[in-house]
Amino acid sequence: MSFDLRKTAPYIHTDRTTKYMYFCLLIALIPPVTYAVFYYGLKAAILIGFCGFLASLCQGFKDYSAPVHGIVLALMLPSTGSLYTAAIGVLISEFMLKKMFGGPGSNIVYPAACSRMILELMFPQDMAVALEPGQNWFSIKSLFILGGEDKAPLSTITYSRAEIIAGRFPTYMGMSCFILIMVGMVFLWHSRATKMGAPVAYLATVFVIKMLITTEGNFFMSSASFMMTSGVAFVAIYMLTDPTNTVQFGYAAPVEGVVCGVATALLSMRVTGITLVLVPVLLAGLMDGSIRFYVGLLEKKRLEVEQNEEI
Amino acid sequence: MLEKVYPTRIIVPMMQHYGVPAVPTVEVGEKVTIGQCIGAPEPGSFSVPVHSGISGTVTDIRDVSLPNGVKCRAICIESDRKRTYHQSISPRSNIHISASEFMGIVKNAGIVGMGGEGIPTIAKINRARETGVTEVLVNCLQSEPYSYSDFLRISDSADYIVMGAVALAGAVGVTRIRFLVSESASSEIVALQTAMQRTAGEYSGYSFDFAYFKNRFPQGYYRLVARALYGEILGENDTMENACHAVMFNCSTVFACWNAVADGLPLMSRVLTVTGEDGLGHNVLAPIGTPVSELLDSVNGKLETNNTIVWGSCLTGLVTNDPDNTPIIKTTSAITIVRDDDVHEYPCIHCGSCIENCPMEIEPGIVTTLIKQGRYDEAEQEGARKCISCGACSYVCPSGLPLTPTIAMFAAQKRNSVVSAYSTTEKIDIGSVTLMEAYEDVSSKEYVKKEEKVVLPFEGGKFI
Repeated sequence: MSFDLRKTAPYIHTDRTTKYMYFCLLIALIPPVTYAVFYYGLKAAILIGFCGFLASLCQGFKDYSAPVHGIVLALMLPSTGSLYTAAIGVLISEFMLKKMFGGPGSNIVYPAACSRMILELMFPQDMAVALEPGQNWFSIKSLFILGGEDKAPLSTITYSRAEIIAGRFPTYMGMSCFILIMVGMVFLWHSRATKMGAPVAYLATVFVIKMLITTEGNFFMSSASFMMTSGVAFVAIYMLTDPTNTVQFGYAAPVEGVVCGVATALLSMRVTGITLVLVPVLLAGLMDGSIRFYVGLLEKKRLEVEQNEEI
Repeated sequence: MLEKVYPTRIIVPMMQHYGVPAVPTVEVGEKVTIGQCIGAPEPGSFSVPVHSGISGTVTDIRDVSLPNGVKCRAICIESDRKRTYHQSISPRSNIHISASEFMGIVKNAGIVGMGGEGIPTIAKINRARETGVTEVLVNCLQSEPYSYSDFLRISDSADYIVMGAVALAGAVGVTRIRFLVSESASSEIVALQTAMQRTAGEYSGYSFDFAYFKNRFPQGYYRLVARALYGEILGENDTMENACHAVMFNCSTVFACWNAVADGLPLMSRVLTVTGEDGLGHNVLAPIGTPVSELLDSVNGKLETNNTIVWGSCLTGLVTNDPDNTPIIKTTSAITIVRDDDVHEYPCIHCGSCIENCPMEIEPGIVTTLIKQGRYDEAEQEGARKCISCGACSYVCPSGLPLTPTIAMFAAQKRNSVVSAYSTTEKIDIGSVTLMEAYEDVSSKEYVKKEEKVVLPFEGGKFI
């Protein structure tokens, strides 16, 4: 007896499809994109648009995962980034990290995060520069030059608390606007497109551990400042909510968030910059399968114990 | 609101239940009345009688293929529009009957599990008696989306459901009755509570209770009820009677039992929901055997739809391509019209939604992958055979993967399923009876003596 699978039950389907999830992520990226364009001008707009478009060309406009990963990658680039490095990053992300592993859904690490790390290794000096926000709004020269222009250190020491909250300090294009990223988080939570277990656990873990390991100054303010300047919020909201990379069900999601958070907090004692936030995400992605397996195993064991106790 | 359907014809399959088909007791050209037995079990067979829900003339006895794969004989009756009831059908004045009488009525009324399983109710009662259950559960947990037939039955006939539950408890030999209800079904709970208060005086020896469940699909499935109520995880061969010492009946089945006792009516009609696209949303009372096309015509005018017609609910039903010749049967709780939208299939994103929503704790994504790769032994080890085809995994899958059909087809491969159900006996001659005459209301002064007496072969020689 043969069946036409398209004509078998169930005949209704949830609206929460892969396309919908990534579409919501795309919408949630609007606040940091707006921030990036507002502060860094035309070059930011072109860089972000270029990355999103190129990624979509590589994979196609099927489920919006490609433009999401492309835009996330662009937002992690310095405002002095060139189209060449962006293109290399997108191609690594789409071909090496997605297609080679079997296409969307089969990648073992977050493609944009891994691609950004590779760019960090390939072009360390180009990735380590940034412009002061609000300068040279119309200048697009840096898009076509490797090496960037108007070098500025990625440091927040000389910036006030208000400027830190507003994200008005030189860093990667979309990673510093803590408040706008939280707006994106609120939208994602409201849309129910993805689950917030992992990002919330991640942020809470980082905050608490940073408070515990801070040796001088105000523990709370130091930890808060770190949360707002390091890019952990960006990683939490746009990477740890990606269903292809972060386990989303049950308590495996918070476990993954905690693992990622512990790694970030401990790494912060030794490392700064993009490496600090991306390495734990890659680590959590690699451990995703193991976390999923052991959580499932624990759940089965719990049920067995309960059953045995009944007997 | 309950609407009544009066079809111009019905097609009554001889096999609407779990077991073997009944044998026709009428022939082409014969006139039948409402409630008349038109199909009777062969002696010693695991079967139930079938009755006509309309009065008219038998126009054909032919083979039908039901969407569930069953092929059997069916009796086609053309309505004479007179709605003539069988002369023996009358309300029972003395409802205090013995357990054996009640069981005989249930058996001869052709009552089966109307929640979908189709097990003859008499068989369940017998099994419950043999295993020594301690309580009766009345399943009021209809959780399928857009299906409200059971809710309407509860709201409309709570008294009958409570009385039926008491009668079933008496037949099984227990005094504890528990109604399984959804905590959000407040009007149904009130209706049942009111009915219990009304019967409390007469049946003080019985205890009534409610068990509240979250509104979750498929909470009404017996294995999930066993786990939720008793903490028992039933294996493939376990039953609630053995493992939990409880027997569960669907509320529509319970209603049918009391309807047979109080009103002398066999199971010949049922409430079902007609829902879906094309502006539908009706709960109807229709005779068993009403063709799907007539059902749709009667609730929505002359309905012509390009959408898919599902025989059953939108999560577990089956597509019918021939609504003119597909009848509703005793276990059909809904007819759904669904849009012909193709859900676009994307690669699995390993989100785990299917795992979270599987009520049987299978990992549908992994099992589907194993089946597609031909690793059937591993798929079995992962629990593929536990699948109950509820459709939850496919519904929630963001990638639109056909998880349910893939696993269900695999799980069904080794199960014995009767596809072609035919008896070697062409016809059983029992005359024009409902079979309920064997348990006549002896206290009624208006009882009409039968014109002829026949020996029912399956009643062990009992005259009617």
